[in-house]
Amino acid sequence: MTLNQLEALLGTGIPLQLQNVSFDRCECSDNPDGCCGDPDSCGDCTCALDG
Amino acid sequence: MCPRWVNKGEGVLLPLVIYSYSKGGEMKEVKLRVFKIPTDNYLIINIPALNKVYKADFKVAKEIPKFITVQSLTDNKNKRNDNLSHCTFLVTNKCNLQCAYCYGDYGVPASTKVLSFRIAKAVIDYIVSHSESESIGVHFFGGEPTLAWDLIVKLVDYTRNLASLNNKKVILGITTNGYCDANQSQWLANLDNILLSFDGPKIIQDAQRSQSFDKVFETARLIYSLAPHKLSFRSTISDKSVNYLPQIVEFFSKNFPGCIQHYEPLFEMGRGQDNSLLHSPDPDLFFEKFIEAFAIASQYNSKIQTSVLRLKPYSESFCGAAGRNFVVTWNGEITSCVRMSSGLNEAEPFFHYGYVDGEGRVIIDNNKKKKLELLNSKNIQECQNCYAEFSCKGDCPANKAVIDPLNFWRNKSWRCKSIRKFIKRILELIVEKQYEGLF
Repeated sequence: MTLNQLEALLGTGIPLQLQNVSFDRCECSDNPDGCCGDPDSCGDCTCALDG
Repeated sequence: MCPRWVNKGEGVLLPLVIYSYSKGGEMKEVKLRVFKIPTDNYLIINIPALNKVYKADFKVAKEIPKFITVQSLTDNKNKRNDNLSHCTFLVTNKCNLQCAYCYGDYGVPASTKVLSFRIAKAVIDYIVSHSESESIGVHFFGGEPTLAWDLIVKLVDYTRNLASLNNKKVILGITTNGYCDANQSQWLANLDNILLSFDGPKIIQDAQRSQSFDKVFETARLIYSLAPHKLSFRSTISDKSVNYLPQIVEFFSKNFPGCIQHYEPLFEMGRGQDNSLLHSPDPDLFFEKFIEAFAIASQYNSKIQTSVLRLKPYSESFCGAAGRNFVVTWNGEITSCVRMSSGLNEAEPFFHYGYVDGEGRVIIDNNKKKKLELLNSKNIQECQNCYAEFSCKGDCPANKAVIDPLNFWRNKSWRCKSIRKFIKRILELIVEKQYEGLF
């Protein structure tokens, strides 16, 4: 089955977003341009699990 | 937000959602895994690589196979061959608090150590000369980094000057407990990001973090008044505070609107293994309360996070411990995990992949660094057919290393069942909210 066939059956789908919940932990070192400086708690350059 | 890329060996499969960032590459047919997750009334069809879900009734779902094919763009851009654009300095193991759950048992006066400027300078020189990126990042961590004040001030000046001479941008950050004076707080606000370890309202902060509320709150207020967009919070949730998680979210939302709030359950390691006061919360209860807190966050327009909730298809592993992080300890050792650096854990050598020698040379053991790539959910058998894997990525390898120092890299999370339940509930909420027309 192709994506088009699936979407003909189920519609275009729902983006994985939820208001005020951030799913976007920064992963700077996956980014070829280096650290993005995103102040969000960062999964890579600042461990989200400190404490 | 920067474009992100997924490295897949020979080519790079870009998630469909970020096609617009791609340059070059060619269209190729790829198979995407389809997960069918039953709820009481319908099935959630989750295709992680597409970054979206579908709602299907049970009859229709029978027609949907385990894989679908898409025309996807592959990018031939080479995998970035270094992780040298940014580093984290564990500038000291000193700490002015003695939190009951500290993973490193920091704050013990007899064993204090401070990173030398000579070692730190050598690392910054190395980064500036080796990084192919237009920007470099330096982050300060500890112990409590503000206790190595003269060092971090000197390093910030040095990094900014050197980067300027080399036409590179600098991103400077710190993870701090905020137990510092007003002049220091003011200086911190000049950095690019400040992550404050802060557990919430006074009664909780004082109980969990050495009676520090008044001073830390003052620090937070001052930094927020100067640079609100740079400040974020990281809170540890214990068995004693878990029931109050929605109130903690309300506390930060009311006092620091707009700041990211990151929540993690206490994990018992280091001093946290021996204390009798605070323990890990029940994982199901933690996730239940986290979801309950959505309504509060929504009311104040705040954003909350927790590490296993990362509904992005392009993550390769839980975090940069899988060989991407460049963390330099106060001894000049290079490791990929800040939590695996206290000397208290049997598995720590696995994470260490280099050192700075007596002559200021940065020595990297590439074989050890390569081995860290094992910290990937692809190596965890139980993750292979799991609909939640794309979000949790097998959970924190350091925590798993505390539980099983030999086999942690291939073990599923100790809270796997709870994570699966949590992610399923999140996907349900996304589907239900969509259909309620709220988004």
